[in-house]
Amino acid sequence: MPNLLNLLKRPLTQSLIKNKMSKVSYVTAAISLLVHKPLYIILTGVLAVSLFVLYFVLNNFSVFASIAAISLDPYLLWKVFVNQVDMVWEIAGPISVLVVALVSLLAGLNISLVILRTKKTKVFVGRTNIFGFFGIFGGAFGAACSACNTALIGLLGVSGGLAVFPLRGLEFSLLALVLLVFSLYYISKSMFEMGMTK
Amino acid sequence: MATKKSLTIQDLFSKISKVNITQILVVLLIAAAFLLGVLFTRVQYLEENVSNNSAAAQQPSQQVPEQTGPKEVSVDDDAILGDKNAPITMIEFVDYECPFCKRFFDETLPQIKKEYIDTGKVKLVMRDLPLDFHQNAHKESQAAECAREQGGNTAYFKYHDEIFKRTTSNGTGLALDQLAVIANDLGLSGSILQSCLDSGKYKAEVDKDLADASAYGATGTPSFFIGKSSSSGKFQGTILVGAQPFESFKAALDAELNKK
Repeated sequence: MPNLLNLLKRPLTQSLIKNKMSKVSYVTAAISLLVHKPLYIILTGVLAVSLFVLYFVLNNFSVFASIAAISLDPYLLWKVFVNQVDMVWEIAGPISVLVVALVSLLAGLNISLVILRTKKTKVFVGRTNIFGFFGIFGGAFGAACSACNTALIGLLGVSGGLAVFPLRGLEFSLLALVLLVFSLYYISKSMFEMGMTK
Repeated sequence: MATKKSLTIQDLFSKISKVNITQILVVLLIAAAFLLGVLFTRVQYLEENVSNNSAAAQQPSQQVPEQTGPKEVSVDDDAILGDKNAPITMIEFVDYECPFCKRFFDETLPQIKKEYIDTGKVKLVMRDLPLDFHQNAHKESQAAECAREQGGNTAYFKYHDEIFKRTTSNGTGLALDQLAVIANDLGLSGSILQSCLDSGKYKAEVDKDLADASAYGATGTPSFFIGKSSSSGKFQGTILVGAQPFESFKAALDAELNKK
């Protein structure tokens, strides 16, 4: 009888020990694993920058499409991109740009961790990526547009673009941020459970 | 041992199913909250604009314009800046309460004016696209037309410039009672402008511009159409969307000027 009690208690005790390890430490352990691998730091950076550019281009698609139809000069397209970011910074406020940058960084981090975990364990755990998927997707709607009424949100049938939202589209970025933080936690937790982090 | 194994497996299954259900519920909850937010904002926005829905009804609800090369566009009977016989025409669809139109006015238009309009290469035609969520924009467009009635294209562009100098461009960036004040300040008659505005004389004209913009695929502001001028006032215009840097306009205008 005492043996049976011990057996019943054991998973409970293990669970309590696991709970003692704070949620933050799962994430910090996963990130510290990643920062010791230069290739993955570069990957995270490249992904973050690419997503930042992609978010702005997607949300200002008609702006870029119209100039691309006239000229495909890379310098001109770069000038247009810088101009869009500068305008959003000035008109919508620095926070609009900074939040998109943070979403891009978190998205890059999420993808890098998934790649690292899959490469090390040879197992792709899809269910832990669901928040990340929605976060990365949602981030695309948050980048402020640089012309009135042209934002990507128009695809959802919202006339007025981001201007009809009380926070001018910042809602999307904040939602994406929350989802990406959840995703980061679940990915880090799964890495701990797979024995990749301590 | 068997009990331990079965307990562990059972525990594992319950844990997995618990995590899955929690995850799915959180995602669904966030998605539902978000959709409710969108719906709420949309309803609020529609309620705010219910009294101003005549122009809104003519505006497209979809924002992504078709961009399939040049389109036949018309200068209509709108205000012209520059030489009427300039070889290139640039139409701007403007919203006086759009901050990006203000940015274009502040930073890019002076350069275009200096290098292309003042040199007789390009004429700028100003047409209206007051977006329905910018409450005062429609009246401001009408006021500019009323100013034109008093002093022609010169008065129109002076009035246009003055609106952009004074508005903060946020939908209600310029109080409507300031429209007559601007007229007085420019040496026009404020009372005549006010009665012109009150009569709604140019409402149909602005609504026609809105309808034309929609037909041309211009749904955002500022939007531009650039092409070779023609005596009929209609031409094949290439669209340029947004307050792009001067270099974009230079590329578009030079391309048209270099066409044979």
